[in-house]
Amino acid sequence: MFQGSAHVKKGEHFTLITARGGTLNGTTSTDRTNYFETLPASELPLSLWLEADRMKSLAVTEPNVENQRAVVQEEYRMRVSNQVYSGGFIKLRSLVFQKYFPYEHDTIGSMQDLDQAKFEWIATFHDAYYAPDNAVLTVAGDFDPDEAMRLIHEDFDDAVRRKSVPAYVPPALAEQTAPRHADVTDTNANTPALYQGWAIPPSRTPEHYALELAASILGQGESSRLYQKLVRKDGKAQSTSVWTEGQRGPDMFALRVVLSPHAKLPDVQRDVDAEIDAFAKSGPTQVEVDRAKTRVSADFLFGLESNQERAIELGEYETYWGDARLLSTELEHYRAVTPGQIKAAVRSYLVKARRSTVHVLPPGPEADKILSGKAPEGSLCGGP
Amino acid sequence: MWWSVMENVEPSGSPRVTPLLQRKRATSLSALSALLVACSAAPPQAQTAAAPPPPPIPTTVPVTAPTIDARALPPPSGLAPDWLFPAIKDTSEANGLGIRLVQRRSLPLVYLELVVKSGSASDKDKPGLAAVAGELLKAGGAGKWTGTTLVDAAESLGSSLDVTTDRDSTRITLAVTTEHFRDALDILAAVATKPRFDPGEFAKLKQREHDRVASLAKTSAGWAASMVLYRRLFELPSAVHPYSHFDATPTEIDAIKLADCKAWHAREFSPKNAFLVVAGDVEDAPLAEAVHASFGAWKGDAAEEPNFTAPVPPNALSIFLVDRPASAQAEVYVATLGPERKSPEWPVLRTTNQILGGGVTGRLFLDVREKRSLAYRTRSSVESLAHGPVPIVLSAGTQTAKTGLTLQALLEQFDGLTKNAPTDEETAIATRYLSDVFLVGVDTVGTIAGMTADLGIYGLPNDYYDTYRTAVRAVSKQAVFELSQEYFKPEKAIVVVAGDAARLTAPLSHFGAVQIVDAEHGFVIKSKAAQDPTAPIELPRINGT
Repeated sequence: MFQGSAHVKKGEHFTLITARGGTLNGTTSTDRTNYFETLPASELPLSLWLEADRMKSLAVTEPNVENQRAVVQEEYRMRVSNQVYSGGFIKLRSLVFQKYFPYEHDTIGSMQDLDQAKFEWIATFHDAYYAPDNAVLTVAGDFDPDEAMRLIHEDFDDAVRRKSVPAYVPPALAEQTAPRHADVTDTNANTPALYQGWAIPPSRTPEHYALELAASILGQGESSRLYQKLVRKDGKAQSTSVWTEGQRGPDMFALRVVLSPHAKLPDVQRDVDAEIDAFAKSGPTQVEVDRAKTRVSADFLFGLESNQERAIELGEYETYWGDARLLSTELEHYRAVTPGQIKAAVRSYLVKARRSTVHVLPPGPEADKILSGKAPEGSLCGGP
Repeated sequence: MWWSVMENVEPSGSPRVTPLLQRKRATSLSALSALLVACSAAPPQAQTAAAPPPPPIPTTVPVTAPTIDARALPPPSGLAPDWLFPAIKDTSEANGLGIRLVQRRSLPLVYLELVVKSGSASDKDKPGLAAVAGELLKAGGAGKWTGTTLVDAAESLGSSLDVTTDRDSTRITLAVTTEHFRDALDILAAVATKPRFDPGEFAKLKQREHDRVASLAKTSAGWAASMVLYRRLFELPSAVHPYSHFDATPTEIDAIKLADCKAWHAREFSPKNAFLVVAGDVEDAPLAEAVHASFGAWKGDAAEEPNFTAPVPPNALSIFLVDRPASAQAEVYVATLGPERKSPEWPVLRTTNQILGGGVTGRLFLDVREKRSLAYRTRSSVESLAHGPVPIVLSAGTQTAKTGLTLQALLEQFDGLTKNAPTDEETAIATRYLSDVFLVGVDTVGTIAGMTADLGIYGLPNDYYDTYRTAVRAVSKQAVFELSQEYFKPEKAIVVVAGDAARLTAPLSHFGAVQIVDAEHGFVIKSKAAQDPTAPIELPRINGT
């Protein structure tokens, strides 16, 4: 997307934006791809012109694809092969979303995928999905709305609808009925790590709001239950984190614990199980819920401070939910959640039969034993 | 997955005030959905006020109307709106504590940052001391709070209490909604002035820090390479330079005692060695009253400054290979020292860095990544330090087989600017970018607070960012050329590569003698290899790397 279009030479997209004091980038996630520029307000015409030109006439050529294939392969080496514990998370996703194509694989794919991707696939994909009738344009900042609309019409009105974009109908995710488990070795790791994940309802459902607050109480911040227990009190972990992925379709509730050098995986596994069981049994305290809601409110405000973040959030709401204005009522959904609803959601979704677990092991004799099926007594590896 | 890597250049900003979610919904276009969020909080009279126009902006972009198809050419460049860094109101408490207030009322948010002008450079003979002691201020509890109830109190405000240590400062921060700013100040004051130094929490913290650095030595190529890089950049013949340790080793962490932490706090934490930055939605009088209530009783003298002897540069290319057996990728660094942060050459250095590798128009990105496809991430950077020359670092992450080629490319680009001046176009793009990116970056109270804190740390005046923009626009290609010739010495650079020594020793020996470093055992030199100019610099790929 930065390799040129009808009126923009290869690399000129970078040059034009930078030469006028702007920044640019793009990201992919499971549910959308975005491109963004942030420029001085006086350069809005340039930004719209560049986006329109590549929407209408991107140079999808074999040399450009080959050049970028090598670049993305370097990204794979940096972000996956050379990144500690990343392989564990990719494995977790594949377990939680087993046989569910949209979310089973990591966004960047595998090195084999990158090697084997054919130019024709890329051209066909681009032709089908990089269409004006499959895109949302968001402009945030200091400008005159009428003038901006005039420019947008001028630049984008002749972008041709493809009518090839399939409607968003996510397939149903089969209900998991037994726990899943995998062990992986990680040559970058110094200590083991534990990942756990559960499939949960999509974002913006009542259960999801409750589970987001549950994630905050369990593992976000230094006052959270897992951090206090495993890092501060027992010293068994170097770090803990709990989060939801925020997907448009079926989502994932995930946790990660990176162990201290002297801690044992089965021991930490038991501690995590006990914390989740206790949470499911007794639910959160009112103090914990209030703290989680205050945190969500502050994060919401701080998260929308910059024009770039505001544009990205609004664009995602329009893309996923059909109305960017929903963002302005989002906090009300969190504020309405009760401790009882959090407890009910945890009891319904974070159960053992629906759980997937990945143990990440540094290379060595213990990992060799486990991976060859000779797990030491007491180990949970090989299946819970 | 992010596609391109944008370097964060000189902290940048925007004066716009942006009411949350004030937007106008656009009518749908024929095909594309469009959302507009127009936010201009400046009152109309401010927009039309007669402000002096900014200096002429050199640009290569056509500014005249094309003759055939107007839409075939980029729209002409508009003049960037005039911009000044938000006003800083400086006051102080009677005890010497400086207060730097930057008011922003667009959102009900306040960012509080207590800055103590002592960082890892004040470690003396205990590397890691400032970082451990700083973290202990929080973990060990303070005032009426234990370590646990302290983080509970901070997080109940919707915030996160952070203590960060860099080379020149220790910063304690809380970001809260306006209604909580008094409570937040109380927490900051307790952490800075009434730490409990709980022995049990100290023991746990020390273990965590030991585990952290032991783990980084194994898991982070960048961390391990930086440990070597700083040791070599700030090497002295018979003493230890305050900037020579990037972080501590596990052994160095083990050597830190609780008494060291108490002594460091008593020595460095004083109102005369600190200032408080407040950015956001807060009035002068309530702030002054709250600061006095929280910090008024704090006492202490100015801290002693470390001895910043000028480091001794190497007289030949030095190559260090940090061994990471079976690593899938290698991290390559080429470094030297440049002028001081406060030097008038700083705008020229920033422009030079931008041309070399400061972003997606830099030579490293265009050559090493886009043309040769050797790296996904490649850049050059300069670090700000309060004292003496600053590091200039070129870097790239690459596959093992192409590590030699990547080093060769970095050295070529490093050398290139010393042979010929950059083009007019390169200079224009870099100076315009560095000048105008301020308009898009400073739109959070956290950024404004951080930039205000930097002025205090580096001894820069309050109008620095405004004069910097003017100065950077005036930088010429000849000035870039002359600075490059003075500071860029590829034949005397320090090279650090973190990767698989079993494969990389030979290709790196092509460039010079190689010293192989063991990051997991105190960064000792575990072996050496002599220079071999006949060694091939490209290796066959094994398992895709």
